[in-house]
Amino acid sequence: MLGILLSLAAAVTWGIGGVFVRLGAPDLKISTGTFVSLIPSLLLTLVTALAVNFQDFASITLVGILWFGLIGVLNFRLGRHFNYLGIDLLGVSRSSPVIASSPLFAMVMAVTFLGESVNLFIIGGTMLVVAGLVLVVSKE
Amino acid sequence: MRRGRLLGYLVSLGAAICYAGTSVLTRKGLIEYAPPLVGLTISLVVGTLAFAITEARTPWSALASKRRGLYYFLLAGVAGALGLIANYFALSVAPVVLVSPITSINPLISITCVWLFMQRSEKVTLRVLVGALLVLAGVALITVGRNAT
Repeated sequence: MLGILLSLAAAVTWGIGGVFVRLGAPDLKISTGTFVSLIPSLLLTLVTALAVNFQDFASITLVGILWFGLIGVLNFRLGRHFNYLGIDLLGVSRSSPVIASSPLFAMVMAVTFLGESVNLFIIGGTMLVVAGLVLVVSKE
Repeated sequence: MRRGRLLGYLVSLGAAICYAGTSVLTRKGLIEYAPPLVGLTISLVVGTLAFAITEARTPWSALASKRRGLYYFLLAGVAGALGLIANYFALSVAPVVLVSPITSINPLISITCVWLFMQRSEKVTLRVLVGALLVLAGVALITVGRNAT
């Protein structure tokens, strides 16, 4: 039950976050807004991480720092910037389903690079995601 | 399709691909290098620094007149962090096959908010709503399928 509530909390806060971006986009350049958004994200996460995993910071290796640094560039410098730019250009209702299709691409990468296997669930899910994207993108 | 709209779809797809790459790299990183919150903090530090370099020329004094935008983006950042932290704690008490499909409904939350409060600036059509539902159902199936293998 706690897991479901926390998952719902994540969904609600992420969903509302997109709406805040939509509201702020007319007043601020998107790259500046994305940078501004990263500051409270960093502070809140840092405080939580220090409270929960304080000792683990000391044991992380240089390779680990580089690995998660690469993730930081991919996720926050590029991903969040593109995400907010998409919300500005399309509106949150059209961009968010496209961005939500990311597990489809993650699955393709995992099959290609990590050798994960494909099953009927994945094939069916892929067809649904593609059909949904076609509906969102197609002209009214 | 208008040029701005095409660019919007392309950058949204770009975001989806970046998040997908993040997901694949994070799986390996969490197994080999660090616990989730430590890894997330390092990622945020580097991502913020990478932005600070490219945004160094921004005339910050001019932003004082754009407080409305600043506040909304700060709130977006708070919401994003609360989502990441809630997702982390959810994954620590429940399996990914339960957590991931629930968290992936966040576009429906956005669409509902737009429909309730922003109808003047953005129209939610039936086609977009059905499309979003299909994407979410597909994502749930892919998540179940990846964790079943």
